[in-house]
Amino acid sequence: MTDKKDEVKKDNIVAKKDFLIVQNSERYDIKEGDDIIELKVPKKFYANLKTENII
Amino acid sequence: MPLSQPKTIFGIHSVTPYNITTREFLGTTQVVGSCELSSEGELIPLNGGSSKYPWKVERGLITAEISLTLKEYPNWIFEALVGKAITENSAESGGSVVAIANANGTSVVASTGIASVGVKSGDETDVKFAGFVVKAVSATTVDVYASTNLDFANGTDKTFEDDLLKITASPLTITTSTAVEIPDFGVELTGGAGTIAMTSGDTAVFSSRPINTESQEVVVGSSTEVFNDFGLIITGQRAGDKFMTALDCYKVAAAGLPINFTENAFSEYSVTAQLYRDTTRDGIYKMERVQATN
Repeated sequence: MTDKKDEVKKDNIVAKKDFLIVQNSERYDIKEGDDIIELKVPKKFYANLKTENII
Repeated sequence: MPLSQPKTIFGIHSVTPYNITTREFLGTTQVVGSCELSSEGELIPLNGGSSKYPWKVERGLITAEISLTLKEYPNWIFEALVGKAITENSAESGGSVVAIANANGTSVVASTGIASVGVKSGDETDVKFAGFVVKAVSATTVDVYASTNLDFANGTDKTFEDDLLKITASPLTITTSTAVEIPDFGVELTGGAGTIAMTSGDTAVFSSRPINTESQEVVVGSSTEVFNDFGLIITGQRAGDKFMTALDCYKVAAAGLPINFTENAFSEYSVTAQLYRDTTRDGIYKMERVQATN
């Protein structure tokens, strides 16, 4: 029996272009087409990614 | 009675300026190359007729000048010669950062940019002596540049990243109300409270000082400069026979302060000052000397 929870597909957030996040010990080298969620980019950077027109 | 000992002056011990009004000392200087008082008078001859020689000679003006050659930069010299007192900072056991200010544009230091810069707790030993430029390279990232690598070996060693003196290998990401360290410089930039949105190309500047026991700063050439004349006590070296001489110049006017950075040499500089009459004490200087016996 399949768990219904597994059937819920996560939304993808795809990067529109390359962008590098470097902050203290955190570093995320985002490439165009990358899934931000899959890369586990913390939500605190989402505002930046929107401002930079990455997502 | 036999002839007395020769009255000589040997060497220079110190130069001590004082406030003419209060007579309080402004400090002293002992790393002195020379301090020479020239007192040149003009002689005015009366010539006339067929005489090859003057009929009379009378004295004209006498100019009293002091030529100082100094080899240190005491605090008082700035107040006396360029009209601006030095600001003396207390010891900084954790280093310090001089506040960040916008240079080009207004978006870097802002509630939507960088709110402040400070020493990163725990990384105080990495703070270096340099000036910095923070440049927005996108709406939310900055590159940082340093004015000199003079102190880059202090704490964690650093090197420049390029010929334009960049010190950040990658642009630093500024996020709202979050501190971002400039790696290995002991300094962190804290994002403003708003949504970060800087203008690419805008810049801001700040400087940092490493852990220290003292530091000074002075801005020369500002509109708030005040030139005050001063008194000056010049003291010759104490001779082996205990003969000592001091010259108290009552009123001295001087202006200008050369500062020399010369390869492998201590800065040595010369200043010329003029003496003028103190009507209260009725003179331009007083010489005092003593043959001590003990």
